[in-house]
Amino acid sequence: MKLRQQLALLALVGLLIPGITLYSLQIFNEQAKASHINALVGMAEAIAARLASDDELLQASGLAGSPQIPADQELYSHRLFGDGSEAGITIDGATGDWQALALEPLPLAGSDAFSASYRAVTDNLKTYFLIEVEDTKRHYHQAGSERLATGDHLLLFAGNQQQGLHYFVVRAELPGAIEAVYRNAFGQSVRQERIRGVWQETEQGYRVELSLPSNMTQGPFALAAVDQAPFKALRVAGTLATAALATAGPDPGVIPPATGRLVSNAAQLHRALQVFNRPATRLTLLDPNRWQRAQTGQLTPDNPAAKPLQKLLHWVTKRPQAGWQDVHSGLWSTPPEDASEAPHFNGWTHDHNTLIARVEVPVHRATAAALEARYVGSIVIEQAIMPWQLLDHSATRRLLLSSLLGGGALLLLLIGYASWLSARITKLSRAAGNAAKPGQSLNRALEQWPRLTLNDEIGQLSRHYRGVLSQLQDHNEYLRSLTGKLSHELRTPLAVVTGSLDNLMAAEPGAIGKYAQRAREGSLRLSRIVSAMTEASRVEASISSAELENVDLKQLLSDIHQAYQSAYPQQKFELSIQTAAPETYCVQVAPELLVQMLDKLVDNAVSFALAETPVQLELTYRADDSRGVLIELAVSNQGPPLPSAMQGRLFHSLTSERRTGDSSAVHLGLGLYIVELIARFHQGEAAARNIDNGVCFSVSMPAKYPALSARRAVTSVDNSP
Amino acid sequence: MARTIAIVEDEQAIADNYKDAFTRLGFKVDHYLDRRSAQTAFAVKLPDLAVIDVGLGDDIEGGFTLCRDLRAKAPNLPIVFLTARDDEFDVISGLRLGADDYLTKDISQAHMLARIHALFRRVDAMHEPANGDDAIERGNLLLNSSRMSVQWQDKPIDLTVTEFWILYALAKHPGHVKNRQQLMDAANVVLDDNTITSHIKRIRRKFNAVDADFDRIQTAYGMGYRWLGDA
Repeated sequence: MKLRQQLALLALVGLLIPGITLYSLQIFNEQAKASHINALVGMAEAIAARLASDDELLQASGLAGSPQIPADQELYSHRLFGDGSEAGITIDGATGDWQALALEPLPLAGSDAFSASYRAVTDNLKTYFLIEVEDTKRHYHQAGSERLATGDHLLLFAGNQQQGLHYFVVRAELPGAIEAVYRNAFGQSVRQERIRGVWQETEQGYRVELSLPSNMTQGPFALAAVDQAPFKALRVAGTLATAALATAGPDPGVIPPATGRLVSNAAQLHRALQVFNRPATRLTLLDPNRWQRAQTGQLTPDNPAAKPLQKLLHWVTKRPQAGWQDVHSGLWSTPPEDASEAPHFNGWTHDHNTLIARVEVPVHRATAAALEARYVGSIVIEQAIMPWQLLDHSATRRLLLSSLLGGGALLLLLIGYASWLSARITKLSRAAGNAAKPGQSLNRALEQWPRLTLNDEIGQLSRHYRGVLSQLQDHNEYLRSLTGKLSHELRTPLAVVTGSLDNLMAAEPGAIGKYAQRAREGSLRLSRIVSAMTEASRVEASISSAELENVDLKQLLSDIHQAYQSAYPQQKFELSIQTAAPETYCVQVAPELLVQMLDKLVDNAVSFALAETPVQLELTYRADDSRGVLIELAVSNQGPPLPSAMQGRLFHSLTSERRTGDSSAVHLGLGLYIVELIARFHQGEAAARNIDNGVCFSVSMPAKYPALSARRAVTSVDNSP
Repeated sequence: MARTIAIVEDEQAIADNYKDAFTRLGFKVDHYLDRRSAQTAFAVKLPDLAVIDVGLGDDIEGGFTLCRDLRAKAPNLPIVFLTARDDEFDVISGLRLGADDYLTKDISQAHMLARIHALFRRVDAMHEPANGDDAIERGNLLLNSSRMSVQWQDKPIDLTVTEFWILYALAKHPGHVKNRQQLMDAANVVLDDNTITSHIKRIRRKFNAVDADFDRIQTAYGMGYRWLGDA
């Protein structure tokens, strides 16, 4: 992966800011949802308090004042009022008109695996029932029987104060119209024409569609389906006590009145709740048996169309897991003990893309008579909102916008910075690549080398590279000039030789010896130059194989001083050694090389020394902060000074600018080049400077003491196998 | 009276060899080891020809200084430079010191003497009336081989002996390609190809100084050079 791509990838960190914002928006959203629930609870409590305070309403609607009836003795009918108060049901046995009402059947509790269900709806005039019974062995009533029913039948307890309460048997001799009969006080079977219905067979059993006047269902009311077959026990499903039936037999004339009733939503409660209507909010009032007694409002969200920002917010918010389930039967489920187990009792559910908040609070009727407030029902508030609605306000919009802008700006900045950085490095790398190309001249590479103005690490790298390149160029330049210098050095003796030979050809016999001698001297000079040249490479070779030994430099210098004295009897030598602890000068060096180096320096000093002046040999030391003890060997003589232009490159080979009186001496400058090679081998430096009336060549090198090296040697022994 | 040749050379052996050779040919030779002694002597009496080494001991460019002084004193004195380095040719040329020839030290004595003679011939010819036989006219170019003088569009071109002979060889047969060897033979020098090339360049430059549109010397790539005759 290229640097640019790596940096661009890194720049994606900028996306963290919007990411963190989105995450915090989620947290905000959870918070907002919790507080929304709290607000709804507050609203529900207000409604509950309003209802609880209206005793008249509670009494009139039957929530208060009437004795508590167990849930299994109550039936539920959906009452239609206001607009669309006509149920529009035709008693014809067809169920299409029922399906339009979207009611869910409620079970009629039965025994012995006998079950039935019913749907009921009440309009201004009548109450309609659709009862479905599961009984594949159908038995019809036998015509002419004295009994009210000889086969399967329905049992209704209904009526009113004017006409009296009766047990009605709903029976059929064939599928089709039913008969509703009861026994009057005289035990006669009387037909009640106002109860009408149609009996139809279904796959599971049979279905009865019934209608009866509304005023027959206001008082005590009960319904049961009875499965009756010859030689078999009766099976009953419904709200009539089975025990009573069993004792009374099929003719229920003498059965005590039933205590159940038909419950439905009440117009006055509906009106009372309507006051609290809000958009997209549904209010429901449940009685203690959790029958739906009133409901107002619609669960249709305010503005379902989403703008782009809202879509983004929608994307941020998490959908509740639980799905919303509406209640179509009229019977609401009971909240569990622990409300947190079922969040749809107090909490959030979803209906497709809509969020639905639901809260339920109890209504307690406070009466002076009762010691404790009596539970009379529950208020359920459901509210539909679009998922973004809780977040869609100016604060979050600002937060989102600023973080998107900030993140974008950061991203651009980082990408820009990365591009800039990589452009610089690419520039550098391209320049280095160009410089390394075969055939590319260093001059050109140096000219084209990028000049990075900023002095950071890359700028420094560029400058260092340029430094290396220009050093290389200098070296190349030096090598190029070396051949020129060499040809210059060689040409002079060559001219001597050819000139002498030319003369020799034309010379008088007596002069031949003179020209031959001159030619020999010229060729000797040539050979000295050649050996001086090879000496440098010989020293380079011996340096690479040199080994360090423990040497007392003081001793070495004293010895060599005497040796020089006898080697150059004409020259006077002086030795001075700086006083120091005995071990100061006991260091690790390559003695042969060191002697060779001193030879060169002394040779040089002797050839330039003025007559009658001594050559000085000096051994000194000084402490250096960074390099420890530095030992300096110096050889100085009195004589012509160094040309100032030569100071820097004096130690380059073949550079010799000074003249001695003796023109036969070879001054290629290789000697000083060798000095520098040996000094460098000892991690030291060679230097030359003019002193009073003369020149001083010195070599300073860090002292390597044996103890340190010995320790190192031991370590290396341990490591060796 | 024998002509005097001054040799200014710090290498005693080289100077001795030249001195012996020149003396054998009947010249009087004065040898000076450094610039100072030469200048002192020249102040008293000028030689007929000077052979000067470029580097004189510690005086790395002492020869150049000496040449300038000498040229100022005697505009027609033939001066030959001796150098140990090829690259000094360009220095001399660049400085336009007015030397009549420059040679490397390893040139053979025969070549050296041929040049000395040529230079003396040139000096002599200047004092004699022009000899029509020795003159070649090629359009705007007028060459006189005895005077070794060159004119282009009636303006004199100041060429060294080597340059003159190279030009002469080219202009003698216009349109003929002369290879490098032929040019070296004509100039009596042993030079490598690059040096011939730089001689040609210098000749062109000298013509260009007089006539910016000069383009008579043509390079025949891979073969050599030719003088373009007038169409």
